[in-house]
Amino acid sequence: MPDSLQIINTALVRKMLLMDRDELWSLAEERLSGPKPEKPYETVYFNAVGNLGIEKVRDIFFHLHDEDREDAVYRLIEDLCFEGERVPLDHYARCGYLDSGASCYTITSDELIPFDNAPVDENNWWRFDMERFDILGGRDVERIVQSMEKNLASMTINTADDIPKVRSIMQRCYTDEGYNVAYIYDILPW
Amino acid sequence: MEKVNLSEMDEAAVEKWLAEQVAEEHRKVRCGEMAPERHHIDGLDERIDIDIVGKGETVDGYWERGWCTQMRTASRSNIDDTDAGCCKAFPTRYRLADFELSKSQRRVLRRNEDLGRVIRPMRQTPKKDKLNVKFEQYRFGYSTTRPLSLLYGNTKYYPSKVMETCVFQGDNLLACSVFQVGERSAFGDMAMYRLEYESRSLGILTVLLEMQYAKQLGKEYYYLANYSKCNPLFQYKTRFGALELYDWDNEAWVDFKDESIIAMLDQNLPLKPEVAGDA
Repeated sequence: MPDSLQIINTALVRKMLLMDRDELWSLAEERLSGPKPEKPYETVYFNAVGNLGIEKVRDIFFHLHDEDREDAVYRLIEDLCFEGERVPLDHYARCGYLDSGASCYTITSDELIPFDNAPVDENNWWRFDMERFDILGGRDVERIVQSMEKNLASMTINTADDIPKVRSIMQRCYTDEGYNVAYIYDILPW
Repeated sequence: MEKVNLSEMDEAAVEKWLAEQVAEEHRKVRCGEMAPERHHIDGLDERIDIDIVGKGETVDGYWERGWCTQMRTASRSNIDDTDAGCCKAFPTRYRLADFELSKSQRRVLRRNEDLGRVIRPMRQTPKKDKLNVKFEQYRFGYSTTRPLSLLYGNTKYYPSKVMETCVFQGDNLLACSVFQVGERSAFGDMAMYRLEYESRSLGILTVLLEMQYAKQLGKEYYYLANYSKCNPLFQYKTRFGALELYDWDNEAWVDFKDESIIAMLDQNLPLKPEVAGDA
């Protein structure tokens, strides 16, 4: 998938980073027991619940949490804090954001979810598997919408139907405090 | 030089005249009157396919042996071809643990504090393409034939992480650089900046930002491609501390402050046997 946009509940991310193991599981259990969200990618815990059942997943989560809290929390954030459809972005759509000076001032996933700077080795290889995303505000998404409208004829990935989708993401961001939009870079793990 | 009308000469005479010209050129090269042309040089100029995945090799290993890596190829050369002729070129790298900002570099950072800057995965955009075309026209005297979309169209398939540094003033993109990040080191690929802002030393700024970023990530080395003594465009590379040059003969990195560097930089490129043997 190319670079994409998806709504992210940043207020929940910040709360989760402060929760202990039991609080995190209490939150997760409630969500994981509900319907699996439609996402274009596989998520760790929701898939595990489908295969193993909630009790087994709790044991796995507790084990992972005690082994490496950062990893366990990050995976849970992926499952619980991203909402709605992930919209892929055409070259012309993404330029609305990347060619804007405001893109210097958005916070990144590293700043939102800080990890220690331990060098990557065979014990924490998964860090390379993490997605990198920027946290956009409504105005940033508005620039993407404007660029899509201006370059509609040249776009190959997006069609006119995608503009209302991105606009609705923008509206959510403007109206719901605590919600932002993740600009997710398409990076292969290595 | 005597004017010659080749159209009035027969084939044999033209051939004889050309041979004389070549011999004269070789004499000048041997006598140090003129730098040798690239095609006469018995230098290193290699390009190979690389297939790093699954072989336990990393881009760092290539960089350590003087290679520059692209998506599926690596290249290296000890020849720097300039208008003045050919010089011996040496790959550069900086020891990040020993690197310290000089006074002038601190000034560059301070002078540009008013600008927005961001380091992120590299993406080709129209503003960067425009900036690149203008910059290359100015710096190298010709427009680029390879837009960024060709050079960096598929960055996710690189064996390294391809990142960019962008420097903005409002919505104006003033400078941009592209660099690769490996497991143990980073490699500065290219930089471009708006010419009318040259007094801000934006080229130096992007190198400093890349070095600081690599240092923060705990990388050991920052590579900055080739340096040669006779190329004025490369002299800025000696302004950063903890510099090492790659000694092709001994396949080892040598500190730029080491006494042996002078002799290394003064080395002439060997001529091809048929040129060197020509009386």
